[in-house]
Amino acid sequence: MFNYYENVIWKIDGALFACALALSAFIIIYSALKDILWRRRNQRLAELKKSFQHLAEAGKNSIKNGCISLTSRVRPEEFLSITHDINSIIPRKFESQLRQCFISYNKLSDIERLAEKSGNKWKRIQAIIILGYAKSESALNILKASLFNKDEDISYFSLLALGEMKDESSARVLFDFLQKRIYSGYKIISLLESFPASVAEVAIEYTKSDDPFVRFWALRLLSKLNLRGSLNTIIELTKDSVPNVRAAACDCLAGIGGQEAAAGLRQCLYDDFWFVRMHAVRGMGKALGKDSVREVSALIQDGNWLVRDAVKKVFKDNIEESLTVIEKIFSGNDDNAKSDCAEVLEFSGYIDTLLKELLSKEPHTRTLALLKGVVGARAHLGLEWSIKKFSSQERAHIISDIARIDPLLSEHIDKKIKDIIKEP
Amino acid sequence: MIKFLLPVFIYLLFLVSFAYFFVMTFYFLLLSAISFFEEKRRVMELDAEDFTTLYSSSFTLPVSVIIPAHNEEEWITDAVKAALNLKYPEFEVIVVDDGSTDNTLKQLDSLLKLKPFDMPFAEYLRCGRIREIFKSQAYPNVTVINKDGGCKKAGAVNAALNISRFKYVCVTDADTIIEPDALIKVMAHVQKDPENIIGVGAYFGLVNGLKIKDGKIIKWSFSHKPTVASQNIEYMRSLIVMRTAWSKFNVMPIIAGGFGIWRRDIFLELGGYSPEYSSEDLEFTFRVHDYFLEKNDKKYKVLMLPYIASWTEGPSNIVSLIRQRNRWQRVTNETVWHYKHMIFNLRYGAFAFFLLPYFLFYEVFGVFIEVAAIAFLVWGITVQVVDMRVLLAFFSFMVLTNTISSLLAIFIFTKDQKVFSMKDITYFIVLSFLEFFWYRWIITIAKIMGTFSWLRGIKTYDQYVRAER
Repeated sequence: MFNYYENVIWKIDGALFACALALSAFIIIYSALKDILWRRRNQRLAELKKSFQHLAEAGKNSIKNGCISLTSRVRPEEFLSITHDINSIIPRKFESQLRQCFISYNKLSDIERLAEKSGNKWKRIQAIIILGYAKSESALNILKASLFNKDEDISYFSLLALGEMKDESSARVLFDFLQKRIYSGYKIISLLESFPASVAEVAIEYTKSDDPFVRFWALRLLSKLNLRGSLNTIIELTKDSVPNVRAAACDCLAGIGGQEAAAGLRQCLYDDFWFVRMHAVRGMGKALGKDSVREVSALIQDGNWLVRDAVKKVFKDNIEESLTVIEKIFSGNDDNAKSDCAEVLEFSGYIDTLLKELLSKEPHTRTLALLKGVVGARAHLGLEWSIKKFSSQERAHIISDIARIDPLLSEHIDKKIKDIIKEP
Repeated sequence: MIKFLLPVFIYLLFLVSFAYFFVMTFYFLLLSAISFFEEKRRVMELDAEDFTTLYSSSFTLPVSVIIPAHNEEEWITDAVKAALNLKYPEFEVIVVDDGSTDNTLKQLDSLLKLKPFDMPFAEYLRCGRIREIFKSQAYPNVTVINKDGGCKKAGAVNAALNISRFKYVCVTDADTIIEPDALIKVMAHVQKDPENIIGVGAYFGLVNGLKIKDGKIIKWSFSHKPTVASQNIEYMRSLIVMRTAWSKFNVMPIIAGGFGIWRRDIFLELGGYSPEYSSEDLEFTFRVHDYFLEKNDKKYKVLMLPYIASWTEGPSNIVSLIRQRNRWQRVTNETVWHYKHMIFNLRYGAFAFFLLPYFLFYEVFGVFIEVAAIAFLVWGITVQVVDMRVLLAFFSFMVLTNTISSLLAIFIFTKDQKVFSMKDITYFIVLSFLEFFWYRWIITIAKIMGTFSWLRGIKTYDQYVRAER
């Protein structure tokens, strides 16, 4: 009654079946061929790498003579694999010679042409990366232009290639590009971080940029470079109008260290923004070491837990110097600060020392005060763990001391250690 | 009357289901074409990426790796070791023992040398009661949370999110082996634009059959059990073809639990994973899209990268498979129902017009269309209103469109990735032709059961029985 067009469907089925068979055959042939090509390519790459290694082993003069003939055999895509793996192929001391050889070899102009005009995007990207490695003078302009290409891949790999150039000019291009906010500061600064130390001078220039984003990232980079000569510029930036910049300046000063840096950090300890305070505390810890304890101790009562966390870290790293401050906090009224200090004693491993001292004939009054503080802060898990390490006689002694402070807790710990109760 | 209406009804149903298959095949072909180029692009990007700088830089974004575990004594040691083998500058591992009743915690203790840890714990995200927090004495970057069960995987991940320290978190499973370079490959993308990249998923295959020692894959011998191999094909179809293509238009519907990177602040902003659903990952990804599209933020990105990031255990028998897919169907229905306001809503753009119709017509109703079409054609034959040749032609059409979809997925995946041997690939090809005769119907049964369970309001997180290793 109705036309189901079964003949048409059968015809479609026939076509689909033929397609399925053809596709199956194609996948098998393609995979087999790809396997063979893959193996050949790897073999050739291994041979090339070996030849470069031999050349490097033969010494300076051999590199000069043998390099060009070897380079002429390398195709761009192979060159890319070699440059990616360069540090495992040849010793670093020969790297610049090898690079010079690539530059002097006239194939570089072909690569430059590819990097500028190739219609095949990925061939173009390969050429761009090679240009970055070759570090030729003409490369900079090509890479600078391709950095602003509409295609995000071409732009991104030009960025990486500029990162590979590692000289002052490329650093400036990267800093300028930072202002465009096309790629994150993390990405660009991670590239600049691998530049030689002279990049610091460029970074200092950019700390004076009108753009707070650039100032911030220039400072972040400087914080990894430990640059004493720029101290005053950085201290000035602790007064910047942008809190992010002030925080980054604190990081920088932390790396520089010493009393002069601490003077800059001190003015950020009570900043209105919590993360500036946090960076200032961390910075103090790094810059002054044990001397920072007193400077930051008041911030254990800060309203922000990350600032308190930073203070705890300073206490933990300088536990001996912190004990007096901790004792004072235990005798105060701030429960949060008390619990933080108990945590510091636990994480620093000082609880073990405390308990050992408790077993001595005449324990120090501070020992008892600290134990009282830990028990009072209800931070007993670390205590249990440490008590477990002692003999049963010593445990009894310690638990009786705790019983004098908090009988219920001591009973609980005792039962738990004896496995009478288990915390669910 | 019935004598007149029945042939009309069957004929209409035939036309609808034929059109349905035709549109779905076209949709899949379109996605295949997009993913073909997208996959190529991503693989080329990977080849050219400068990983040396990323490995050595102190500006590479640190990541918290979260491993939730519930009765995972078989896998937990290898899963944690695999996470510890990650090649990445800075990361922490947070393992959550979610009310296990087996030896999961003991295994963790013997590997990590756990020490109880008094840590202030703020429940920013709902996670259930925390029993204890431990720090590893053997690996300073590992924390273990022991908590009550009952809030499903969502609660376990939320517990870890509450204490995680880093801006990005990698959520994985306790039966999953992460590839050592998984984080660096994925984070290389995130590093480009951490302000806008909210979440990233990557490919994960089935670990079944592979030989693992100390968290490392030592022998690549994929299981040739038809149930497992068919799931492998399905994963290629779903993860490589569909999600990679959807990702191109920023309509990635799910960052799956096997491996996914999320920005932690998004979890905090949106309230974390929800234990109210049968499973958490699909609903959360929908919530993220809903949140950003609702406030007209067009810059956010949820990506799918076709890189192999991890290997996870899949059901190795039919009962387990049905149980797993039943849950997947329930969560699909729950999510589509909850976010029904987005369907064909102009405000939600491509998500509403390109992705959600697929979910609605294929994932939710598709199974009923397929079953009804076949059932009524068979009935039509028995009452002699349809010719047998029609049924065969239609059935062949269904088989062949399914086969071609699978073959395309196999091709797109294997053309650039060297994971499967020639033997594996040939086996997958053969299975692609046979899949419709058995596997598809197992999934269909599971989907129907899932839909009925959803209608009955069942939301349990059933863990299937682990295969012996």
